[in-house]
Amino acid sequence: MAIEITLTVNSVTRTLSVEPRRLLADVLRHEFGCYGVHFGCSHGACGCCTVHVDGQPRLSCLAFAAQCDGMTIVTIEGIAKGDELHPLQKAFIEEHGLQCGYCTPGFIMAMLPFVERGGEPTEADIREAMSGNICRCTGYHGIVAAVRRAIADRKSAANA
Amino acid sequence: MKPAAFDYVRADSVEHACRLLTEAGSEARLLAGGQSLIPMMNLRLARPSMLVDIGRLPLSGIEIGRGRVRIGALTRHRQVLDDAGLRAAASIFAETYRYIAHPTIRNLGTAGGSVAHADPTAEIPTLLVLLDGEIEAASSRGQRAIAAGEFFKGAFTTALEPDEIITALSFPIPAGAWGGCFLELAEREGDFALAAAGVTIEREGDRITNARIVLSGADSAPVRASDVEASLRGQVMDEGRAAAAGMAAASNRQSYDDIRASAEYRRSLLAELTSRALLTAYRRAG
Repeated sequence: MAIEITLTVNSVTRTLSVEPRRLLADVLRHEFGCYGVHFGCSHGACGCCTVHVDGQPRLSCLAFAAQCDGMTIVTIEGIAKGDELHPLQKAFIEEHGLQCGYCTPGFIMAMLPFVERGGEPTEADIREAMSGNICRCTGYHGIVAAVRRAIADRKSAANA
Repeated sequence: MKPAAFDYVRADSVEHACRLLTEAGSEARLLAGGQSLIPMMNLRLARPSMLVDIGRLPLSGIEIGRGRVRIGALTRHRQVLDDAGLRAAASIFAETYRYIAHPTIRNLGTAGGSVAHADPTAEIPTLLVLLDGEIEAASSRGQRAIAAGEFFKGAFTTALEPDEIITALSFPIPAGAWGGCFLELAEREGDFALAAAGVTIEREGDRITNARIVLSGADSAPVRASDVEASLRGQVMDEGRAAAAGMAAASNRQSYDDIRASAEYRRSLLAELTSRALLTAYRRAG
């Protein structure tokens, strides 16, 4: 039995009819065209499907779309300003934080609030914050460097 | 991977949720944060015919007072970790909670959900047994409090009736000089534990007046090492005594083999974790 829900995804609000068993990730991909939301493991081990729901990182494979009725969702497609990439996206490119790119949207959405919190995180803090995301290509060093660079860039932009 | 089809109803009160559970029978399941149930549904290890979504009920919050800590069933793990009042009242909560899952999952996972799910190595059940806490439950038949020691029956099995909903967890905090320690080992930070040990020590001067030891990963549910607890009463703790107590607590445990570790390895881990937790809790009690 399908039910009616309303979602706001990357500033677009739509009411749609969904089967209760449809996962948020599935609805984001197929109803909203957000193909940057990646299914990895579908059981909460890899973090590839991370999106923001009402401002908080959340695994979209561990949420039913029906649970998110009335909520605001931001995916990797929603963080750039037009053609201008988000500073964390730029840092991933500059620091070789990605190779095949499959895990990248999840890493970026998981680490965005951490970067925006600022402060002086240690290497251990950064690695703890990304402990729910798996990358099979980079060996993580480039990702840690990208997060560190994004925090530093933010700080220097604030001081400029 | 997609879950099997089910009916979905959002409960608008505890009474409503209880009524839905009573009407639906044993095939219905409660959906709180969903961070354990949804993976099991994705893998089709669980196929409930109906989900009663309680995620928006006002059962969230932390109360500290009169020697107890009360955590609402829908309190997210993140809220417990971030609560400054709780950290000041009893540091063992934050120490235990930092082992729970990964940061993203902590934003959604709930205290009541973890307890109802009763994974054999979940942290909150172990903490409940360690601190002699209670599980508050409601149903259409009324409310009751269940002692943690009576609640966890085995892997994914509890004393909860099919029509009951957990509303809160309640933990007594020891009155005098006491210290606690929770230690766990997992393959990757936030993964399922291989083994964990929780300890509380109460002291008068150098002498132990009361000790509690709970092991996770030693059996299909958290177990107390009651005989070792009794043997520590009146003693002074040192490294030799802690090591012996750790060995005694872990020996003869059934434990289990799985893809991550053998039962034998788990027993040796439990001995070491218990020994270290005893020393730390004793020091913190001073």
